[in-house]
Amino acid sequence: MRAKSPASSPRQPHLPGEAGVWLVVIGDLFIFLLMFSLFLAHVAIDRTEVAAARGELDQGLALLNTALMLSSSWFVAHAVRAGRSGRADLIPRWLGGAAACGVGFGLVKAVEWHAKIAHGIFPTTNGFFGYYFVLTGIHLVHVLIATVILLLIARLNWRDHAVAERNQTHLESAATFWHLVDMVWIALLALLYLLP
Amino acid sequence: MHRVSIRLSVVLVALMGLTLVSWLAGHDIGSRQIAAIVVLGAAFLKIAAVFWEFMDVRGGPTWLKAATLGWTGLAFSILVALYIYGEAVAPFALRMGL
Repeated sequence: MRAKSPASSPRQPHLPGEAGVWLVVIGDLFIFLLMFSLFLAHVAIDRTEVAAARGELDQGLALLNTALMLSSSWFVAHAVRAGRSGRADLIPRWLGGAAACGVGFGLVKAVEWHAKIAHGIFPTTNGFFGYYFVLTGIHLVHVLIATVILLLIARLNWRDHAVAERNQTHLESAATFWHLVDMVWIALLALLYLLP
Repeated sequence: MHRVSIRLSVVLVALMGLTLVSWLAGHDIGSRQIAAIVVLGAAFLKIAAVFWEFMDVRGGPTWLKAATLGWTGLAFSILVALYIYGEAVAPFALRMGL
């Protein structure tokens, strides 16, 4: 049994999630853009220090976390499409996959931070590592909040599939916030780990 | 749903591929400026793809398309300019206590 929704019509523009969530997301993106700009201004001040500090980062763990973040977005996008096509029974599985990626991301980040601290690298070591710990820390808080939200939505849909049809907007709002977390990580990978 | 799943999977593979391209660019391109443009270009292309396909901005209202893709273009332009011409703004940044 497929549920009909305005989103199922390709000609009808559909806002995924609530407008308020989009305002938060776009506002958050501009705050992150300001922080990214401040970081690159710092890079320009002392490229030698930044190059040496960047060499201390573990690109392998960063790429592993990128694979987890991108895969999580793929899971979340499937959950939203499952809700729109009336397959609410699939939503908890897709969201569970995404939440597992979120937990995996947090564990990998913990391993990465632990290695830095074990080598005597702290936020106060130099400007680069100050930005590194602050930016990845703020991002990790976003990951943890988004993971909890996904699990709450999954639990809601697991208990009552009919809820999913009524709460499609909530699901889409949670998905929108999750994708924000993914996009911020994409930018952090480039800025902190990959720029020459 | 099956066609949608294939489309989302193609996007995921493309995102992984762009990640690999940007990682290679950070290592193997001689010019620092060109490498920075490739790394940041790949990153913001990935962000645009997440907006468009995963967040379904593609099917959204015009204001949403303008806001999301506008931010993507603006952020890419500012960050590339800061990376390439950063030395010119460094004295100003120092005065600001950065």
